[in-house]
Amino acid sequence: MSAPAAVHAPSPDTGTATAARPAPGRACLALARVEAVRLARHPAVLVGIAAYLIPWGYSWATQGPAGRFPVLQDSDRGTQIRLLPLALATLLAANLATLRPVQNGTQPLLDVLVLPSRHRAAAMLAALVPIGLIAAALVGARIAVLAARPGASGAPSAFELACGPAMVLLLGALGVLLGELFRSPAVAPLASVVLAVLILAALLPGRLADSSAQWLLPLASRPDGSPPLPAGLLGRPAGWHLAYLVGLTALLVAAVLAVSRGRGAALGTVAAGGLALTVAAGVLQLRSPSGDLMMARSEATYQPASRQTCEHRGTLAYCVFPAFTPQIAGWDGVVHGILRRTPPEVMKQPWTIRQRVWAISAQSGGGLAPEVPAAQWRADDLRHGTPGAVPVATNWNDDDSVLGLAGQLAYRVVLGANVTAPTGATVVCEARGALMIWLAGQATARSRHGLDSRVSGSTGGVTIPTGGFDSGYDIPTRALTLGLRMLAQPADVIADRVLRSWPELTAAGTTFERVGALLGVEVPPADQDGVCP
Amino acid sequence: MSQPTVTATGLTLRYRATVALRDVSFSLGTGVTGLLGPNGAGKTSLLRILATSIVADHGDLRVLGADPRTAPGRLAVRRRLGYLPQNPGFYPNFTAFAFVDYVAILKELTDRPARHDEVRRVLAAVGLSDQRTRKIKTLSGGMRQRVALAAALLGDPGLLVLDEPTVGLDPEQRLRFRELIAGLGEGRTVLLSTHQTEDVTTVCQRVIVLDAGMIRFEGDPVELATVARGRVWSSPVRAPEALVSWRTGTGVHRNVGHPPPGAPLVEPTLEDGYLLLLDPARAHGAGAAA
Repeated sequence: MSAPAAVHAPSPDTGTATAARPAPGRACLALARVEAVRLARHPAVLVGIAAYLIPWGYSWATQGPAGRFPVLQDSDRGTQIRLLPLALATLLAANLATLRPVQNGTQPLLDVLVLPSRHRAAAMLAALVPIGLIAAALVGARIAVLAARPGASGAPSAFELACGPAMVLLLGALGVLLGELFRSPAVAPLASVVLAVLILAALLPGRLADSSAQWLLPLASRPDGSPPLPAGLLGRPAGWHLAYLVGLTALLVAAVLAVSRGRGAALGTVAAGGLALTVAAGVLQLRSPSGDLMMARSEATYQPASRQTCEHRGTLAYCVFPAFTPQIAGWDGVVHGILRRTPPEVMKQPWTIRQRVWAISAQSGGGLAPEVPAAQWRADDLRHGTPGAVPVATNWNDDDSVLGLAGQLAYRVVLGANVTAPTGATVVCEARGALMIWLAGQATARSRHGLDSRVSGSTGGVTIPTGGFDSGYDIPTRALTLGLRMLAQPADVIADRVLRSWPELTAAGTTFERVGALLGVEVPPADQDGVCP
Repeated sequence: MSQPTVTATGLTLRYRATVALRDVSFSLGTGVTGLLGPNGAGKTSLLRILATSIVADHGDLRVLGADPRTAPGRLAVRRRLGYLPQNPGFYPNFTAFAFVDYVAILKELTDRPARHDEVRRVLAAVGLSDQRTRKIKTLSGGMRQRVALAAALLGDPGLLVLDEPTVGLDPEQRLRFRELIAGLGEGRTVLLSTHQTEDVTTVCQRVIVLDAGMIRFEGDPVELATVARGRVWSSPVRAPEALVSWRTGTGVHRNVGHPPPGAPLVEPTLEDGYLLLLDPARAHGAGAAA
């Protein structure tokens, strides 16, 4: 035990460190800084940050969802659910920090210290701000990395990006309030569980998920997996939702200060302002989409040509919704990968690749994939001089989307340029089916990978998807097998033989046996599915 | 006595039907004053009133020239007060430095470099310079008590209120703590609540005995011992009529109150005086509480 140093007598006024008495605000800020550092180092908060970073790191290592190009107006709200663990962790950590004096018996000492309880509570609330900034930095970093990735398109909404950090602040303030109201450390975990269950219920398909009431929860960003919409068609009330979260946070702040014996006009103003903002923004965010928005969505779904711009490359036209232009380079690779294997008269035809979206049920997040509105598309294409435009979804560069475009184009190349997209499942038989599989599979490495993935999960034939719609081309087992055997041969050798026999291979009724004879490929035995004559 | 730091007049405090303090008046100057009394005497209530934790129902109180019943007065007192509560709590995951620094912020020491200097100063004052980076949960009971005392010393308080600071300490720790407290009384007012009469004998210049919410004695420790002068005897056997009688380490009995026949008088201690002071009070002390 070291000997204590001499204790000096107090100066008549006060000690050196207390000579200049600061305003309580400065002490409040100093306390907030200490509490913020402790919050940021709290194990629950660190787990919350890790829960944000680890899935991101994993998707980085595995090149995202199969390499899909980011669409920033879709990725922005994806940051919100990723912040849910951090928000719940902040609730727990802030609650424990608020309960610290009660749990450790320091309340008798704190009661006679200079800084009053309302300032201590205010410091605890202020300590949440750096956690909110950490959340904002995580969101900013993620969106910046996504924006820097090749093929990134669109623009994020600042409101959507701010909703996640606002949720972190809101739940942190809730943790402080629960600590001020209840002395038990069990209340905050219970509240976290209830909140998590409600939010997850709103994310899963069901009555709550399809109801606009989900906007009353802190998090309203159901990831439905459907292809992203152009920003102008989203109609998400993200700005009002952010205002709603800010209003709720202001209400909680006022409640915390009132419980900790805060008084005064400023507190009343915060409470009244918070209440007004919460009610107004809460109501406004629940409004139905405007008539103009519904009309725009309908037009984008059924007559998209007027809302798109087309980029012409030789005889090719690539038509996209605004801000999706970066995806064209990816389409071009697939298109050339197919057309290079076709005769010149086919290659020189005016092929059009046109983006398609289903924007009608965007507000609720959809559910089952919609059917292709083939008649409307045909009329729209004819009106704009692009009959038989090949559809492509707005989510691009994953295996399915690349295989989908390759398959759609291969189908038109084989059957003729003016066919429309399939309604429901269209079966492609005999030589045409095998040729279509070969063309789509050899177009690019990713289309081949997509085909292999579909084949490995198939018990018979394979379906070439139409992105985001309930339709596609069914290739029966025998045609698929023959197409895969063609893919197993050297591509240039098969390509030469295909070009030499193109008319016969693309004609209806050319048998598998004839294909085998023309291309020198072993013909598989007759399949049992009986879907083709 | 020097210029009074604390002047209390007619302090009365009730907890519902129980009277904790009854018309308590005293004054304190610089130096260490011991507050003695049995459990439930009202010591902690009195200390909490001085520390501005609670307000008396009746009576006047001036602490460091301020009236703690008003909000500005309470703030003025708190700025110059050091308080070590009974069973002080700690944040086990804080280091000693971090905990005292935390308290320093709550005392509005906001300039960071100056505050850290002050934290280092008070930790050195209680002999914890070498332990400042250790987490409180790893410190012994005596060290923790010194951390609490360091927190009370922040900002050179003019009044130190220490509520049973030596409870639970081993003999060596208690001696060290007494050494510390004795030094603290130079130039400031220290009010030390204790059950240990040795604490009072060794470090206090004055003593107040509180029982059943009333002051039974106020004076210096020698005066308290003289209360028992002529009423303490030694004898080879226990005196059956003595108020207190026990066999000492030398084999003789020490009898307080009533003499055994032919026993010689011995020099009384502060403890003897305290016992004799309280014994009559036992008979009519019902109704008081801490």
